[in-house]
Amino acid sequence: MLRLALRRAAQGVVTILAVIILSFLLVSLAPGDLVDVLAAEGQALNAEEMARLRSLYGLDVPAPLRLWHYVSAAARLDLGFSFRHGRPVAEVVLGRMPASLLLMAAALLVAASLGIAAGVFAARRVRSLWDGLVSATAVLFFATPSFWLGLMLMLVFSVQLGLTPIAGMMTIGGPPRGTLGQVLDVLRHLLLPAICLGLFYAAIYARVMRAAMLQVLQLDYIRTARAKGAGEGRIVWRHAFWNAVLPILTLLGIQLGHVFAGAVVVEAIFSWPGLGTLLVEAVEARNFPVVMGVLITSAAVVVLANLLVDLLYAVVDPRVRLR
Amino acid sequence: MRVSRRDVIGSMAALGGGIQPWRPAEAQPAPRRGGVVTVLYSTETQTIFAPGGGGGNPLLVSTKILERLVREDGETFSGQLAERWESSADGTSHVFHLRRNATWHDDTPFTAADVVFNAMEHWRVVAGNPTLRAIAGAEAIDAHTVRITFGQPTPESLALASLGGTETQLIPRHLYAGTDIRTNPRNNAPIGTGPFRFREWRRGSHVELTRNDRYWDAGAPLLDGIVIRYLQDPQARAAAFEAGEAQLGVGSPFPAAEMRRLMATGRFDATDRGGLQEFMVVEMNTRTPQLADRRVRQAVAHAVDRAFVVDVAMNGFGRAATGTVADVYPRFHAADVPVFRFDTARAEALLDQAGLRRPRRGAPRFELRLVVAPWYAENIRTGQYLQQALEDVGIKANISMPDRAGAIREIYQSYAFDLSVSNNVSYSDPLMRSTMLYTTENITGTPFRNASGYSNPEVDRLVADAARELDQARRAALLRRVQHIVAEDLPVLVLAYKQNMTFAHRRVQHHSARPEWMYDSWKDLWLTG
Repeated sequence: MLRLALRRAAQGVVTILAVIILSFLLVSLAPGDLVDVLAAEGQALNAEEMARLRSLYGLDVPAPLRLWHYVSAAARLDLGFSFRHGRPVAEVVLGRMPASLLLMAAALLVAASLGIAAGVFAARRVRSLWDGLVSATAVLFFATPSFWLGLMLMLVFSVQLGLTPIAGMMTIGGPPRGTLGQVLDVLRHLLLPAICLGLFYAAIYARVMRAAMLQVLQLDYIRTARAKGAGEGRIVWRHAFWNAVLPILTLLGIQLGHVFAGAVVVEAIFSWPGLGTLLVEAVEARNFPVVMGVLITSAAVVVLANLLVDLLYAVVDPRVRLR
Repeated sequence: MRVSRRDVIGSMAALGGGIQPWRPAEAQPAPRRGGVVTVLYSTETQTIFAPGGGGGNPLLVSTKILERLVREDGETFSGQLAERWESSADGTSHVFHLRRNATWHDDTPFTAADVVFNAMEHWRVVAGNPTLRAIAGAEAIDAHTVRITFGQPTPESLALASLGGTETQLIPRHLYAGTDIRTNPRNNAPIGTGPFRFREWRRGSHVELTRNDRYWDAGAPLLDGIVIRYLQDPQARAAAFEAGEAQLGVGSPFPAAEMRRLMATGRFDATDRGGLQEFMVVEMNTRTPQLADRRVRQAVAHAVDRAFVVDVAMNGFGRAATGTVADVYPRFHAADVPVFRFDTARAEALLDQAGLRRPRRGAPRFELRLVVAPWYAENIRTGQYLQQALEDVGIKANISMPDRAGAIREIYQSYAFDLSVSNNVSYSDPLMRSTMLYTTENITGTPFRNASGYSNPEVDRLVADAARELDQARRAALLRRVQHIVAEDLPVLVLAYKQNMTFAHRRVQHHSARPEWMYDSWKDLWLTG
């Protein structure tokens, strides 16, 4: 188990290094830089000042040298300074990270619970009307763009029914709320973004879970369990479920990066103050240190989560540990 | 079907709403104290106070906290932190008498030393406005009187317009002296003298301001506070209005269709007063051999139906423009400049005269690179229309739409364009921006200055004279002459003024009272019960 963890961790470090180099090359290719944007905003209104700022921000240094400086600093966990925010990049990024992690975790919780339940439900009623209904709903949510779904959820639940807030992470102003009140307030704000982001993945998980359950339910050991007189509930939940759920765990790990990409859109719609909105703003402003910081941090989260999934996989399926 | 601006406005009025003219104060009920206004804005500010202004995002917030010496009311001025002022006969120095009861939000008295510090260490260092960069000295005559001296005679109106502009907010000397103004941490939690104090900036969400109970203007502000909330998605902004979560939106908060839909509810007002006097331009790169010929530039102007741009590309939220000095500033605006009306036959004739004939029937005369600055949807639609309009007269325009930073680099820094679709702003004094699009000294690779490469010694001389001329009538005549010359030479085709809409719940009173109101202190904004 320890060797497995160490091997995966080493692979993770290589992955993050590759992300740094590729991201750096990509952002270097984009036309324009932070000083162009500052100048357009009226913060560097003459050529001398623009040159001075380029020198101050290190933008006049050749790209390979900048990359070397960046990698050496990142190795010391120094992600640089955001002149635009007037704060270290790590502070800017980590300040937004909890909101993103909360949204991603809530969305995956929605996706896994709905998807798994729907998949098991459909597999137990294969080729029935209910099975068709689950499959059709899954295809519908899979095909629905999240920006449209988000707006529809907002119009129905926030504007028409007044049940949820429009956007943001917590209520602004109003009477003071205790800790429980604040938690409930955040959960109210989280509901629609989590559903919006989660339904897409729930649709995938429902299809995968259904197929996995159908496959497992036809295996010999299930037939043996039935022959021994085990009840249907015990067969499904005790014997079949844990084997069928393994592909979902694999998908969860693989899709974390994809969930982050989806969160960028959902965060923009619901103004959720996470890394997605920060990344969009940073790209627009050519705030490369922050762009790099967000990409590296999100890559680290994905690598770490995959490591955890691998370890969880080993817990759920002892054969992995033996290999 | 063609939809004209008149149709749009008419239909809005028929729906129970309409673009409302600003109602004078006496027509309104008595102001009421209390309440918090939530304002929606699209993009979160990068910092609360940005030296040099920093564009609309920080200015929307910082102008409620930090004040200037004077405040601009169109073409007249009223005192903000200066009670009154006088200018020397030769125009080189201007004396400001400061308010004696003004204090910073940390209770430190505001004095002449603060103004001296700002003039010498702040404005003249970071400003782009040449008038401010020409500040030669500042001297505290006593604790509440200060003399600002310029390197050359400076007309009082130009000095006041510059000191009342977006680059001259006053920051406290006791917190900024000896620090790098750009990176001072106070920029994200400013201490000012304004009617509202900074309370909280929750990144990614909102900025909260609260009433300054010790404000120098007794009785002001009327509101208990202001929340500036950032919602990126325009539909979400519209939904927030509908759900009652916001009362005010500035800078055209959502698309025209949404605005019309919400106006139909009868709960909201919309007006184009109070926004920046912004216009849409086509810059023509005179370094391009074909565009170096004035006849070709005039042909481009004849090829464009500007009414179509306003009605369709701008969804009716624009109005005809004749030049870079907006008509809301009549002191300097020249209304009688030559206008090259939509006439494709005339455009083709001018191109033929310039020797740019079609090689064969239907074939393009020549190709150009059209770079569209994509920060407004109107620009993108105009770029697409322009491409078709030019094709009709035999010019093939290869369109390119980089993002904001890319467009700035290509249009204003590397000049890698032949035609652009971009925007600029008119301030009350043409020297603060309008003439910068034409003078040779502004070919510096700086955004929103002279991108066309146009250089005309007569224009340079007239602008330099206008910077020194103390007689208002002669100065206005000089600047009108500039407008005539550039309208004829046409390095920049001004397509239309953009109507920057303020959208407000009917409870919000006394908004949009003057041009650039969104950057005013909002001390007299109030809410009905």
